[in-house]
Amino acid sequence: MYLICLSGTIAVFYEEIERWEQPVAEEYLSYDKSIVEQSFNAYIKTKKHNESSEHLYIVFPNEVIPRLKFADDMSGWYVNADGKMGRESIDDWTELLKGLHNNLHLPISFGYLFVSAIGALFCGLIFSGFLSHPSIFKDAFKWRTKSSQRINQTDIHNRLSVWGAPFHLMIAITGTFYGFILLFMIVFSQSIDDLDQQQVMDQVYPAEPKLENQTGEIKVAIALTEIEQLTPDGQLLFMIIHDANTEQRFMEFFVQQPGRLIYSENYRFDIAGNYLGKSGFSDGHIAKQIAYSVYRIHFGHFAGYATKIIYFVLGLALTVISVSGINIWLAKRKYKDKINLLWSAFVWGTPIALSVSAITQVIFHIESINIFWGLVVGCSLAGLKQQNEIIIRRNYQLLTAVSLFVLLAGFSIKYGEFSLNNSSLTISIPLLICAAYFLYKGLTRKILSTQGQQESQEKIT
Amino acid sequence: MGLYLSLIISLLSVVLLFVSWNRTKSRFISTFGWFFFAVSIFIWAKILGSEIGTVYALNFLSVFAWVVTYLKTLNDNNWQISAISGTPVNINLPSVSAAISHQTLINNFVLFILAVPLAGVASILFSLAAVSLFPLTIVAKIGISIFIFPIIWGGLSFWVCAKTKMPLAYSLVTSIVLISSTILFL
Repeated sequence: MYLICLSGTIAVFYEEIERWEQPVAEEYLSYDKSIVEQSFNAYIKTKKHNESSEHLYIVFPNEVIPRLKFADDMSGWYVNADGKMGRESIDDWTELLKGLHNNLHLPISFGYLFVSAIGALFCGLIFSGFLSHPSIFKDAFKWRTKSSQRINQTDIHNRLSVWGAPFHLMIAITGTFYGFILLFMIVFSQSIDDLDQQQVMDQVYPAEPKLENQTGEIKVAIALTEIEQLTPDGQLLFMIIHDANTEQRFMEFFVQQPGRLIYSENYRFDIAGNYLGKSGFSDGHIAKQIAYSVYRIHFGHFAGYATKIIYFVLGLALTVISVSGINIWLAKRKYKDKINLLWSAFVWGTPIALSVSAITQVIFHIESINIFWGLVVGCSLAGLKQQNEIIIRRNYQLLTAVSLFVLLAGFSIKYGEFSLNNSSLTISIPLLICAAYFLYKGLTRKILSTQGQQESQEKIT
Repeated sequence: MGLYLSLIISLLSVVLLFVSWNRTKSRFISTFGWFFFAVSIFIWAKILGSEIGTVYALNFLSVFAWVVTYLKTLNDNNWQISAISGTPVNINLPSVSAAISHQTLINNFVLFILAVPLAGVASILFSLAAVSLFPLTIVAKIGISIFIFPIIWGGLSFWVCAKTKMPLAYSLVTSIVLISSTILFL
């Protein structure tokens, strides 16, 4: 749960991280429809596109990522404003982070189910927290930092969890949705005699149109003009060509609706740009609208940057809760064993694994999922050789600070002047602040640790 | 303007709740606190729409309550003391404590099977069976069941863990699976 919460907290900014990973791509907000069309059709004919890919994408520029991108199921390319192909899209570390949050890098179908099950069990933890906390109102703002470590941790845990309960419940329920929606539709279809699985799915997600002979150039510009009339206030997100390697292909445009939590309303067109209809996510059945709102509620991608910051804070609190819950359990035990060290090393080793994997992936483009997990395991086991939890925390905070400084230095060397543009600084400055924070905590922890040990030794003698 | 107003109302509601809790213990003030929280939902909804506004009102309640809790600690605490007092000293720890016996591990494993996978299956079947009894559209049935199922699973897991009599817990979970399956598939 700690890994899911921590990665989810960082993944709130996955769009910004994706932009940071490739800082040299050309950026712009407005584009010429006919240039997009010409360029996209040229892209389809080039070797930069995988012909066996079932889907092709145009990702349109927006304020978070002001770049135009063409992609297939495997790779993508940014497009310059004049329509020429630009830099290759690089988002491997972003995918590592999203994969950690979505499925813990387990095989996709099982991983989603596993993570979603943790979301459901998280609901149980919320209930148990409330029911085992009889003085919930009496302690509403209490935080006894002068008391023992256990009481301190308990107060942090309870204050963060009680006040954050609406958010936590929202995240748990929406998180459960992803892994189980397919399973629910399968089980439900088995229980209805006159409907098969596909028919049940078509009720929730509209069936694909039946088209034939969809050959020739993709008339993107005509479709874009039509969309402007259909949804003048909508924010165009991206377009998918479904069944791209067949003659049944068609275009689907995802358009975000202002003031709504639904992910998008989807508009479908044939290859010639003839409008086929919309999916009805914005005005269809209320259950369909709620189901399609899950993504934005879960990731905080609505109402701009402020929401992301609030979600980051609330997500960080959830991460602290997941750690402090185990800390309380450890402190309540009447004994200490290697689990105490292992837990502390795992918690503080994960940021090291994340930052080192970012170095190897972003700077050196080495596949880093194994490096990440290797470091998580390595740091956890190395903790067993440490004297106590405080020393583990201090050492690992210092190592995290060092690895973040190395990451930023490597990024600056690799990308030169581009490391100082907006797309880079949006992530680099927060990383610098994190590095400074960990360095400060690591260094001050050393002093406190020494004093604490001396004081404790004096008490013993 | 509206944004500042909604922020102020959200903050005011938390401050009133805090004042009620910290000094007066007055139900009157706390009622006002909750009243202003309700007002803040309305104002946030006015500005950002009912969906986004409600999420914002709930989230700001959490954030402001944490800020107030933190500010309170600054008044009456020295942070270094807790850091020192929590320092464990050079311990030669056993691999796994002798307090964890094989019997404990077996009991916990049995409890895990019941509280996680079995309770999960029971809650999926129960939520689908329950909604199938109502005259709803297919989309509504799937939509409602998938949102109530984690709550049922969480509640069931909690109950199973809190229950000391394991046979009773197993019986109940098994009964839920059997009855729900009968409703769904027969």
